[in-house]
Amino acid sequence: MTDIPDDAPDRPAPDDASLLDELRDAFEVDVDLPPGLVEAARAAFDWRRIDDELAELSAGMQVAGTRAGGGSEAIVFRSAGRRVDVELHPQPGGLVLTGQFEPVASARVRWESPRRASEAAPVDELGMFQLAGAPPGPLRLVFDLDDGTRLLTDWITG
Amino acid sequence: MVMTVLEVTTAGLVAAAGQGERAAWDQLVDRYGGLVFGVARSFRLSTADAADVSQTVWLRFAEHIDRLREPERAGAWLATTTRHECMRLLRTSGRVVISDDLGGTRDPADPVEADLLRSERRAAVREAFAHIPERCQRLLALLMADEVRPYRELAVELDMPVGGIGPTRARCLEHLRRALAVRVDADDVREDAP
Repeated sequence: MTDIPDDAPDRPAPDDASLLDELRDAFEVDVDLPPGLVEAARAAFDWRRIDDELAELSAGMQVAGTRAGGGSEAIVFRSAGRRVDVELHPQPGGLVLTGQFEPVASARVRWESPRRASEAAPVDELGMFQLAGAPPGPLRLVFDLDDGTRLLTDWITG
Repeated sequence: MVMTVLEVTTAGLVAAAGQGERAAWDQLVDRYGGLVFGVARSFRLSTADAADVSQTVWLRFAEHIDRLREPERAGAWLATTTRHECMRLLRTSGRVVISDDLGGTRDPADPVEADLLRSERRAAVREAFAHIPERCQRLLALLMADEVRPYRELAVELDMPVGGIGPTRARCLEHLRRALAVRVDADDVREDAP
């Protein structure tokens, strides 16, 4: 953030008053929040896992992603030493998640939503994994490595 | 309303929530819940999708709260993260927006359309407000309160000279005007995003 310039005018510009009015209006009119939204946001605090390793959504994902056929998507997460690539495939029974974990390590993986979690599945010798039945809405992956490390991905909207 | 919610600094709430204080977290939700949902709605997602994105953003925020580079700009982080998550969702999942008039003509004389435009404008103003420096947020929050207070009282509250209030007010509104004009561009990806 750049600092406030010193050469700003000492007197308010003519439309400062209307801008302030508009600001007042923007905050006075309550946003019509759907029921349960505030409770869900508050409950998000219970999902903090500060002792686990976090693989963050790759910055590149925010502006450019690949799009395969059938509405699937490739999403990249990174931590200091690891990378997780995931594709989501909508299926009648829920989202199917396929992906790769690098560098290859012996691990089990599951998806987690605020409502439920999947059974853990193995990550194979090439680092590939597949999970099914994920609901739409917030999701993250949880990897349990054989060395006791637990790695979480950032939450995304499935 | 804005006055009361800004009595504790955002950075203070972020620090407390990062230490595990639930009350501080709840205050952050109260302060920015409307912002996050408003930004999601401005992408014209369905209510269900906007609510999902909102929850995703709060869940992600909980994991990032003790690693924000600029805790005082948590509102900007939330707005930017929401914006990016909406873009990612729309781009990669083939989600349908609820209105098909994007890019088409929008008639402000249509009462429904006028309501929509007004609410989008309010969301944009709130989002722009989240992106200006916190000292500006504090000053403008005091200035938009119903009760008109003398500058010398504001000066004490904000710990700045009386003569500085007027010029700072103008500069802060200029910050707001610019934030409103540019919204969030790609530079903010690097600046604010996790």
